[in-house]
Amino acid sequence: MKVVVGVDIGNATTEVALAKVGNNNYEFLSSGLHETTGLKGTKENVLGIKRAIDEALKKAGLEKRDLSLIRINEATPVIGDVSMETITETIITESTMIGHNPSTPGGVGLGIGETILFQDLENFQRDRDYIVIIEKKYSFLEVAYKLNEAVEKGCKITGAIIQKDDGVLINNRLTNKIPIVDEVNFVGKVPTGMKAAVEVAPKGKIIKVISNPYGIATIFSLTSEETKKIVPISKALIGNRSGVVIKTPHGDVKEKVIPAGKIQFDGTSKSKSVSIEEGSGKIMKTLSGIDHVVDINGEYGTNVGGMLQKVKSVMANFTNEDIHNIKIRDILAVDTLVPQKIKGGVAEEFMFENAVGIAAMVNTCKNQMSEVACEIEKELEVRVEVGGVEADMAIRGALTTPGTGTPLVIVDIGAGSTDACSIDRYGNQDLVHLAGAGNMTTLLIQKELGIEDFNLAEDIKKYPLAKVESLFYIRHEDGSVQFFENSLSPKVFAKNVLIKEGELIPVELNISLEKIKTVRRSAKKKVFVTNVIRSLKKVSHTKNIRDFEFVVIVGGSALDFEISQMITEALSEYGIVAGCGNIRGTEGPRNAVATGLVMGVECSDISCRVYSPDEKPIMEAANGY
Amino acid sequence: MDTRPNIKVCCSKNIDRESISEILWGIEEEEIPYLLEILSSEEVVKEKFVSGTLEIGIGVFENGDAFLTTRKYDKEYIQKANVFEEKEKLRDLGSNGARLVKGLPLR
Repeated sequence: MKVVVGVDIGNATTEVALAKVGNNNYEFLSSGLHETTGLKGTKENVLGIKRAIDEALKKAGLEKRDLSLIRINEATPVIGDVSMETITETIITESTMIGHNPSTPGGVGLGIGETILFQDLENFQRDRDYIVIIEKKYSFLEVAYKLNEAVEKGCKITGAIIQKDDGVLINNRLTNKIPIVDEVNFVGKVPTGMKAAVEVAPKGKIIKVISNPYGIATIFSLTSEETKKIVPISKALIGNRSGVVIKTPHGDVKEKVIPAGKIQFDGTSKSKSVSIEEGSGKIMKTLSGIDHVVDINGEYGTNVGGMLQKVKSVMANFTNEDIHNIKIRDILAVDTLVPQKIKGGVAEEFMFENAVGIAAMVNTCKNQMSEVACEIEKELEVRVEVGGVEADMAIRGALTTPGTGTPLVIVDIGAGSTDACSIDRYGNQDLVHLAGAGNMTTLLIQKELGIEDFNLAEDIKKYPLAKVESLFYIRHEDGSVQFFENSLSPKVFAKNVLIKEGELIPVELNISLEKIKTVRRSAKKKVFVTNVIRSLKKVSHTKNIRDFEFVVIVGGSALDFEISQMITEALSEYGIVAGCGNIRGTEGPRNAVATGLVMGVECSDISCRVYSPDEKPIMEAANGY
Repeated sequence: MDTRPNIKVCCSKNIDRESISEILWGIEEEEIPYLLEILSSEEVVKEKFVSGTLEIGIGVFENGDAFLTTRKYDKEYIQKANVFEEKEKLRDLGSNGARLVKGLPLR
């Protein structure tokens, strides 16, 4: 019996399977896992490989000298990248609006009047109504006193816009109650001497008048043409508890479409181009209309053009190939709505604008693994061979999942690409790499929630949510409640948190848990479920998903707390058995390729027996499919 | 004992009313009632200022330290500020007392 180790170098992790091989039998002894060191397919990988092998040897109680052979995978490097194009934009020129949700605005109701600075209030005119603009340098006591004094003198004050969070304190001290919008950061930008409307809704309600275009038209006596122009303002104010609209004589609001560039698809027989602003549906339809995609390019000078070029240049550097020989074979476009700051807003208002997310993927035939193999051989002094075809190894490994059989598809969702390999009932194999995977999902989450930090978006993707409802318990996103014996930190009180390896990580976003959950799930659906269905169509010779009976999800992504259930649910509609792999009945979704590599030793027409570490036979896998 | 729901603010008699105004304004801005008790003879102790119906209170000690806490909270305080040295923190301290009642994240 020889001791053989299979090594699968992935983009994120290096997995190994250790087994005794002989007499056409495989006795699996242990497995190892380590973070991939360096970029996949480079000499830097050796350190990670060494550590993963050491871990497996230690578990099996063996030494390095016991090893007879190391088999590594023949993976083609795949590089993916993502970009987001906003295709609409709202710009307010001259006319102004404030729409935000201070936690405690003052008063209730609608006030209409001319804007005036607090310090100029002494110069009021009796025949006018006023909206007072108050900067943060004034204390609420002084403000309340002077407003009361002005009212006594006959000044008609109908509302106030203030910079500090003093709305309630001021209102409590006024003899004549008015609606007050507070916490307006850029109060200095509010024009004076202009007609304005301030609206504060009662608690639990939202503003009604200025979020209705006809409400604004009534206040400012607008014509039908002018009313059309203020629609984006009322749209942006919908859902707020308080808001202000100020109309300047030549005010204008534009909602315009930004030219985002074109994507050119070159096929063997025809080429087609499509504008990004036409949306993801049109982009993907154009792509599917081309039988064999030879290359995909973006319009020069646009973001998408830059992104596609960058993917190519990274691959060119990596493989030392001419950039002209690097071709993009697939993209995934997804429609989304992203919050964008309104240009011309005063309180950092945002509006949901249409955007298209694009993921691109490039792979090359050039294999770097022989160089890595030489390096490992030198370092470990054990014979190293580069194993067979990647798809073959993955299928061998995946078939050790109890309950699987052919025809089968294995889906491996990584960070940059979704890889699928299939075997039909006649033993024909196929392999596809598709653009769009984990990073694309993270980008969608990041943009849709308006998060700056990519890592936070990554955590939102990976970990379940909960709400800290008291200093002693949290409510998980599924509604269950968890009690803690020791009080929780006040820093997480009443916040949405991520449960990351037992720790509560606060999500510092003013967005409800339900909304975060909806965005997370929809991003996963848009990328993962779409790509699994796309990959199934691609690997099927008849382009029919139903050709396959089993889909096994493998790789790190299968460990995600909801992806495999989402895919299982989506594919059950087609009568396909889909689920997370359980390699060798013990390894879960990990170790498929490493296991396949071991099983690939001298395998031609043999049947193999797979044993659990305690020597008990757990299943038989047909190897000569 | 006052059974109306409120945040209890217990203040040592040696602290002047002016020094704790910001704390009270913080509570007022959040629209939660408070009950101010100036302790003439007794010492300010946690049991005293968390004894209100909401079990959330603020104690202002003789040395100027103001503690915000709840009856069930097992550490010394949730937030602390000195009324003489950390005036800028006082409004938030009061506001946070009210936010504990309302179930809103603290500032």
